[in-house]
Formats: sequence, C-alpha cells, structure tokens
Amino acid sequence: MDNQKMQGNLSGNIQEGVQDGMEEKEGMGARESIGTPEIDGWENAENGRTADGGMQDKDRNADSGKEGHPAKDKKSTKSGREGRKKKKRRLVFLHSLQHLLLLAAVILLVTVFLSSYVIVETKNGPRFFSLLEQQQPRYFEDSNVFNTLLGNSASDIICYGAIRSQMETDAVFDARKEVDVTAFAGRYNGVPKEYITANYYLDDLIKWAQGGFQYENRYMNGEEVDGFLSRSRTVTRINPDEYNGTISYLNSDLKSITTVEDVSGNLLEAGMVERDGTDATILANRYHTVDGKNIENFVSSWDEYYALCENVRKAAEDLNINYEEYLKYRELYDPANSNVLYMIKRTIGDDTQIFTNASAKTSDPSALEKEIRKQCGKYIYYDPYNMKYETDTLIEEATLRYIVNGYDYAYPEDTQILIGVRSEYGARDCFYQARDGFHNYVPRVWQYVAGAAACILLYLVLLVVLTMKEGMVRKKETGEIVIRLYPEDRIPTEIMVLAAGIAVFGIYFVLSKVINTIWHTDDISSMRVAMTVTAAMATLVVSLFFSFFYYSFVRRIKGGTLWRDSLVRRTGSLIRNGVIYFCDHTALVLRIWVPAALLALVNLGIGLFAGYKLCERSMGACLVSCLILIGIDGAVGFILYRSALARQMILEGIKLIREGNLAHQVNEDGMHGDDLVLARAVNSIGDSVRTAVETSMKDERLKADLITNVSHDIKTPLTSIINYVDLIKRENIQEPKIREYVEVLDVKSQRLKQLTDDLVEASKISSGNIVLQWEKINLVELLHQTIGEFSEKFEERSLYLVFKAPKSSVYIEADSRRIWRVIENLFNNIFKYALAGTRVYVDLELSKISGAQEPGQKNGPGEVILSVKNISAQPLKINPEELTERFIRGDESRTTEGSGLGLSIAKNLTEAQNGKFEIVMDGDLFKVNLTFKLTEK
Amino acid sequence: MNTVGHLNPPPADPMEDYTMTNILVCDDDKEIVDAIEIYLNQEGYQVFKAYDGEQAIKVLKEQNIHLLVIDIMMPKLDGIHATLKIREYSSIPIIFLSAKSEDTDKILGLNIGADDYVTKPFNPLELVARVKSNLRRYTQLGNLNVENNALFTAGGLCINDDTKEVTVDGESVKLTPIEYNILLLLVKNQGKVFSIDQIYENIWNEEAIGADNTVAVHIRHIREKIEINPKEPRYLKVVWGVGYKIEKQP
Repeated sequence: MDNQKMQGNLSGNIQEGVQDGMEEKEGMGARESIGTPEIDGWENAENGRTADGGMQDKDRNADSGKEGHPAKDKKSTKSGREGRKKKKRRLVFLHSLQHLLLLAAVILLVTVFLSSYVIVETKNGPRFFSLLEQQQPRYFEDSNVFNTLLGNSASDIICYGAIRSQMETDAVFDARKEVDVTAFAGRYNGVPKEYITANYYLDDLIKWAQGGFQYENRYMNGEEVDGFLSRSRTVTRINPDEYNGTISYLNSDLKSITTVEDVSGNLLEAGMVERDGTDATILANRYHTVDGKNIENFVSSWDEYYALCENVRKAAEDLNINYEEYLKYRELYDPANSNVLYMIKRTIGDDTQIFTNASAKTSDPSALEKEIRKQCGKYIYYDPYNMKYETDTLIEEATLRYIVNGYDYAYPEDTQILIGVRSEYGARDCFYQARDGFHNYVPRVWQYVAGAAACILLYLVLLVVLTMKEGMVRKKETGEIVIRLYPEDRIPTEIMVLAAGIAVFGIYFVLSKVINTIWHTDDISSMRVAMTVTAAMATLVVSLFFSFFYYSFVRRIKGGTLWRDSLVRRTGSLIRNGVIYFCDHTALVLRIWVPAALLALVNLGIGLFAGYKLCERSMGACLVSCLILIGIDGAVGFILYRSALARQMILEGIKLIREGNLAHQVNEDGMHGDDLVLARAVNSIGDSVRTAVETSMKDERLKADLITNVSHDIKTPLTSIINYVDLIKRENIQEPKIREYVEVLDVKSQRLKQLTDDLVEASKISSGNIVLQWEKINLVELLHQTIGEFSEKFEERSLYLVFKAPKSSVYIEADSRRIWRVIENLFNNIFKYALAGTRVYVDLELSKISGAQEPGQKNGPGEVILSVKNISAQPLKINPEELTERFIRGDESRTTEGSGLGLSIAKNLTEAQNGKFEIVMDGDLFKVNLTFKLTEK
Repeated sequence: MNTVGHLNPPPADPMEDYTMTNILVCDDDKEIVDAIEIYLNQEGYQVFKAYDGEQAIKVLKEQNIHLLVIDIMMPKLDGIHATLKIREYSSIPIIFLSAKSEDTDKILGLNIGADDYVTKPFNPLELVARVKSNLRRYTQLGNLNVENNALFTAGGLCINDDTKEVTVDGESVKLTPIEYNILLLLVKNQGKVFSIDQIYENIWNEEAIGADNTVAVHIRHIREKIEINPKEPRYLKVVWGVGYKIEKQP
C-alpha cells in the first residue's frame, strides 16, 4: 500500500524532480550535487523494519567509498543513514541478482546446447552429431543419431564384406590367395570373354604395391624383343554357358568357369617374321606369378604387355588400399569393439560364403542369423535375391540397395545381409557414446530449458523493476523524488553508444577467438568445461556491460539528458548558434572577414609572387611586388587607424556628454560607415539630452522669473501703499480710530513686503536658481554674531539664550550670507514662537561619524551638529515635515508675524549647502538639528 | 524704523545756503513720484518729475539738476539706458529706485554708473537719507584737501582720532569708547575682516577665551548708529561666520 502511494507520489513529482535534478546539476558538477541518495518506495518499508544492526561498519565504509557520499549525508541521523545504506545494499543486491540470473540462464542454455551434440569416434575420427530433432524421440534407437550411425555402419560393413571377399578364404586372411589381376583391375566394368591375365599371390601384389613399381626404358632390337616377349599369348576364357547371370567379375566365381590356354594367334610362332626393334618400357618383375612366370611370358605383343603391366599395377595398388581398409574395418568391427553384428551371405554359383563378426560357434547361416537377431534389438535384413528387406530402424531399403550396388562386383544377386546392433551396448563404440549422450540430454533438456526460461523471466522482471527505480532518489529534506545522474551519464550519448558498440564487438571478437580455440581442442571433455566456463565469463562480462550502458541510458531518458547531452544536439546547437550569429551579424561578418580574408589572400599571393621572382633572380619584379605589398598593407593600416581614431573620438564624445558637457558634438568629418552612424547617433542623443535639459531648465527659470516678475508687479503698488501710509501717519492725526487703522495698514503693508521678498527667495532656492559662494565659515563665530544680532530682540521677549560650543572654531564649507539666512530664520522663528521667559539652547556637537552612507566620504573629518531648542508658546499640533512646507505655520490662525516661508527657506538653503535639516518635536520642545560636514583644515 | 528718530530733525545742510538743490525723480508710477516729492519737499529740495527715461533726459538738459532718482523698469527708455546716456555728459549722483531686488540687478546698476540702489518698497526716510548722503558726497568731492594723520575716512564715514569725533556724511555720531575703538580698528584696516576674537583681543587687550557675543552686540550698536539701514549696511559689513569689516570705499 505504501508502495502504491509512493508510486503515485513519484509519478506526480517526476516532472519537478527532473527539473530539480537538472537545475542542481547545472549548479554543480558531480553526483554529490543531486540530492541525498534515496530509493523511493522502500523507505517506509525500511523504516518500519527493525534496524537489525547487521549493517557492519566495514560494509558502510565500503559503500561510502564506492558511492561517494554527499556531505549532506553526514548531517542526517544515524538511523536514517543506516536505512539508506540498507536501501543501497538492497539495490546492489538486486543488481547482483540480476547478473547471477543471467549467468545461470546462460550456463543452463550452454549446457543444453553442448549436450545436444554428441561426439562419437568413427573410423574417420571424432564426429559431431546433433541430438536435436524436430520430433524429439524418446528412445535412442529412434533418434537420427542412431540411424545415421547404423547407416554408416551398414555402409562400412558392406564395404568391409567386399574387401573381405578379396582378402580372405573361409573367413581368414589368406596371403596366398591367387588374384587374377586383369579381372580384378576390371572388376567394375567387367571383363571380355577372352582376356590375357596373370595370377599372382595376394601378399606378393600388396607388397609389390607397397614397395613400388620400377620401370626400365631401353631399346630392344628385333631379336631381343623376340627373346623377351612370348611367341604365344596365354588366354583365359570365360565359359558363358556355365555362368548364369550377368557377366560380372567375381574372382572366386570365375575359376570354375574359365579355361586357360596358349593361343598362337599370330605368325610369330612360326618364326617367319622378324620383330622390329623398339624403345620399350619394361616392368621389373619383383614377384612372379603363381606359376613362377613373368608378365612377358603371357603376352605376344607390346600392346598386350603394357596392358597386362598396367593391370598388374592397378590390381596391386587397389589391393594395397583395400588391405589397409581391411585392417581398419577388422579392428573396428571386432565384436569386442563394436556393438554392431553383421552377417553377409553370398552365393556364387554353388559356392556360398559367409562374412560375419558374430562369434563363429557355428557356420550355419540360419543359426548365425538367429543368434544375431537374438542379440540385437535393432537390425536390418536385406535379401535382394528374394526381394526381402526387413528392418525396425529408419533406414530404408533404397539406401541399403544403393550401398550394395556400389559394390556389385562383390555381391552377386544371391546375397543376404543382416546387420544388427546389440541391445546391451557392451562395446564402447560410437553407438555407446551416442546413446550415453542421448540419455544425458534427452530426459533433462526440458528441465534445463525451463530453468533457463525461468531465470530469464526473473531477469526481465528485475530489469523492469530496476528500470523503473533506476536513478530515482528521494530528497531527504523535501521528500520529493528527483533523478540522480552518475558521472558516466554526462558522457555524450553518442560516445556511450559507440563505447557500447565497441564493447559488443570486443566481446564478440574475443569470444569467437576463444570458442574457436576451444572448438579445436582434441580433449572433448575439457572442451565442454572450457566452453561452459567461457560462456559463464562472457555472460558475466556482457551482463555487467549491459547493466552499465542500459541503466545509464535509462537514467538519461528519465533525466531528459539523452537528447540534451548528445553530441548531435550539442553540435546542432553549436551550428545553429553559429548560423544565428552569422545571420544576425551577416553584415558585420562579411565586412570584417571578407576584407580580412582578401587582404590575407592578397598578401599571400603577392608574397608568393615575390618569393617566386626572388627564386627566379629577377630582383626588379620582386622589389616592385614588395613595394606594392607594403603599399596595400599600409593603406589597410591607414584605414584601420582612421577607423580606430573615429572610434576614439566617439568614445571621448560620449565621455564628455556623460560628464555633462551636453553641447559637445562629435566631429563627423572623415567618418564612414558604422563610425558615421555612431557619431551621428551620439550627437543626436547629446542634442536630445541637451534639449531636454535646456527645456527643463528653461521651465524652471520661467517659473522663477514668473514669481520674480509677479513680485515686482506687486512691489510697485506696495511701495505706494507703504509710502502713503507713512505720509498719513505724518499728518498728525488726532482721531485715535484713524491712527489705529493706519497702524494696521502700516503693519500689514510691511508684512506684504516681507512676504513678497520671501516668496521670491523661496522660489529661487527651491528651483535651484541660486549661485552659492562657497567659503570657509566658522560656525561658532557665526553663532556669536547671530546671538549678538538677536540679543535685544530676545531680551524683549525675556528669552534667555544658552550657547554651548566644544571649541572656539568649527569650520564648515558654506555660503556666508545663506548660512546666516538659515540661522537668522531659525532665530526669528524662536523669537516669534518661543514661550516668553524660557531658555533657548543652542548646541554645537562634533561627530566623528561622518556620512558613512556616502562612499568616498568615509574618512572625512566628521560632522558638526547644530541643534537649536526652545519651548513653543503654542501647542505643536503639526507634523515636523509639514512645518518645512511653504506657507505652513505652527499657529493655524496665521495672525502672528511671518510669511510661513522661514523654515522652508532654511531647510532648502541648508540642503543646498550640503547640510541636513531636521525638526524634532517632543511635547512643547521644538528642536531643529542642522548637520554639516566639517571641512578639512 | 529705528533710524527715524536718528535722522530727525534734519541737520543743517551746508548746500542750502547758496542755492536750491534740484532733484529729478523719474518713475512710471505717478503716485510713487508724488510721494517722493512730498518727502523731498519736506527736506527742502526742489523736485522735478519725469515718468520715463526720455523725459528724464529732457528735464536734465533743461534744468540744473543735482541728483537723479530713477526707476529701472520704465516705458520708452528704461533706467539703465537712461543712466548710460546721462553718464555720457553728467556726473550727478544717480540713485536707482527699483523693484528689482536681485544682487545682479544691484551690481548691474552700480556698475553702469549709479551711485546708490534702493529697492522698492522703500522706507521713505532711508531714501531721503541716501539722497542727502549722495548730495553731500557730490558737493563735497574735492573739498577734502586737508591731510590729517589723525583723520580716517571710509566713504561718507569720517573719524577724527584727535577729537574722537565720528561723522557719517557730515553728521556727527555719538559712540561709546568701546564702540569707537572697534570702529577705529575697522576703519584703520579697511577691507580687512576681523573675527570676534581678534576684535576682542585688540580692544580689550586680553586673550579671548571663549569669546561670547559681547563684540557682536557692540557691532550691532555701532551699525545702528552709523548706518542708514542697519540691515543693509554701507560701511560696517558683517561677514557671516567670519567676522566684521569696513568696506573699502571708492
């Protein structure tokens, strides 16, 4: 249930996980980066299980050494770490199991494969036979192997029978057996009714063939020829009347029906004709015939001589070969060595011969036949004479007939062949071996195959499961599933594919070599072991390689890096970026690179030309081309220099404009292309900025001018008012009412005057339309002067002023009249609004902590804070910020003297002089702090 | 306002003895001209009136004018151009009377040939005082041929150290001994700025330890006595934050 939940979680998070993995990966390089190794799905189960403590330190160390733990791991708790180790171990175990399963499957299959072949000893050496058949027989005797072997044996035996008939008399090797050479040599094709032949003993012929035939070339004159060759020929005649059947050679057959006589078939016998001398090739008569004669004694002409010599030689050589076969077959089909029993009975005329390897207790054919049939489970009985064919094997009559027909010179029609295989397989022959192999293989083959199939199935299941889990780790902190990539997963995909291909080919190559070597080993049993071991090792290697590549690809696909890390994509994106860059900067690229390439080509060309001319020793041409080269390069250099110069001018222009010299214009003369465009752009930007600044300044000036002009226009009538009020006052008016009115007019007109002045001042300050005269001001001096100015005024209102300064001179940088204006306004403010009879505190404080916020001023000489404190006569019901706004006054009735601009002007002026103006109000305490930077001495 | 008592009653003017002094007042605002006429008539001056620059030049040519009070912003011909023309042939004192109160305006006016600059709205008495002052300067110019070592002058300010007498534009001013000494120190060193400490050490002959506002108060008193308008002093100037000085007079 937990697993299911996890899976759901997993699929839900996989997208994020992948992204996370990728992000992390980009941040850092290695596997450590990608979270804590966790295996999803098992976590809960693992934690639920008791920590059995079986996790040994050694294992852990081995694990950590192998896997390379992230530093994060160390922070996690011990139990968590053990759980994770366990999971990791489990993963390793599963992977190992996977390898082992494949290994087992392959070993089983190899065993099955190897068992499916039997190696049997035949007369031609060891041979392989496959036991695999479409319809797997249950019994060995029904298998192809058995029948093939039996067929081979039948062929052997029929051949052996033919040879035996040539070599033996009464089933025993007869060295003194007479051989009719001409009949023997022509046994395949038959012999004419009358032929010249010689009879030799069998052993003489075999020895002659083993020793070799020596010929002698010599010239013989007529007499010598006559002396050498016989005058008559000895002819053997077959009496056909006594022979029924086809005219075929059966040497033993011939004797009874042939007659031998000397025939004088020519005139030589009469000695009438002399023979011609001739070059003759004479066969050395190593052996003599049965009668003690030589070849030349049977013939009367050279043709007959040579024919007979050839027949002798052929018969001797054939017999020699057959003799060796005979020895081999006799050994092979000895009943002690072979499970095959046979009996061949042939009747030539009245003579019946029996060839058999069954124990010859009896010579009675029927008894022998019975004995053989008793011993043998499987047999073939062939009786062409009676048209009988019996067998319980798969060998067909046609097969046997075909074999027998190959030796028809040896087998007359009246022939019976019985071949059987002994049921008990007493001899260790090929049948025994084949049967052994068959019995080893057939009953178990399905078990093996089923086992292998189960292993493979399990392997595939594990593959699917591990594929699903591969690379996924659960982050400790967030619990989300992320994909963890290993270092090998960063190798470009194609290289991985290539490596996999190389691995495949390498393994294939080595394996084929090894198998080839093993295959040709003589020792069959060690070959099987070697094959199995090789297959196991190869499987292990293949499995490891496969896991390595396969899981890497799985992780890539999950992490989405299969395509992203591929060389094709990288190259593609590189090319794409290049193309995009080229398209975006076509003009630039063309403009820079084409001329550069041209220049290089021109240089190369002219340089080569000059070098060539130098080689040709034509100094003039070389010099001229060098000069041309210098000229061209110089021109290019000049163009580059001019371009650089233009760029420099533009840069300087930009710098000037940035520094505030807005009227600066880059000189566009002599500029071309981009430089000209750039210069024009810079100029136009400069113009725009200047226009904007000028407009804005003009607006400000207009505003200030407007206020100034308005105030002028106010002042003129105001002058008249003030003057005439004054004149009225001088008229010595007795009426008190009038005097009172005039007084009001006087005060108000004076106030109007003050107001207009302040208005102009304030507007000028706030529009920045003032020019400051910077000088070094002693703040203490200034305060003394101010206090002096105000002493009587303060006395008027019984304000007692307390001034405290740290030392007699505190210098700041300010405009003398403006700073006075600030202080004056502050003091006026106190004079107007302070509660009568209170003390006014004026304090100067030095502070080393200068404006640390402003860089570059860090090591300045510090600051001075001037604070002016007084007790307000009226309750302060207003914000400090509002107080410095224009026309704001503490008393809302606005009846007191003042324009309401005093603090605003003071504040603006202070700030214009790089000071800070701050109003603090605490109950009735009204405090103004001015902060200025101290000047350096 | 403080100066009212000081300037009243007007002292005997030496020029009144021989002839009537003619003053031309030129302003496009008729009421202002009339008001000024009233004040000047009260002081015994003959007042001619003009309402633009051209009229003023015309009157100047026709009459024997001793002093010109002229507005700057006027129709037809403004005060600046009129002054420039007048200065081509006349050296009479010219006082600008303008609503333009900017420093630049004042400097411009004084530079092109004006002798004084009064901003509107003006204190009538100040104007009268300035008129008198300028007339005295004009008429007494060249008369100071007596070289006296004990006589120190700065413009209209004159100190006779022998008699310990101080006159401003010929009018005697009464000063306390400390005020006299301070003024003498400043007049002797015209143009030089003295800080409070320096003044204290010079006058009291002791070291100024934490000098207070004594000197400043004395200075204010002196200013109130010798200046027509103490807020815009002609002689004893305050260099705020630095000290005090007597402006070097031309």
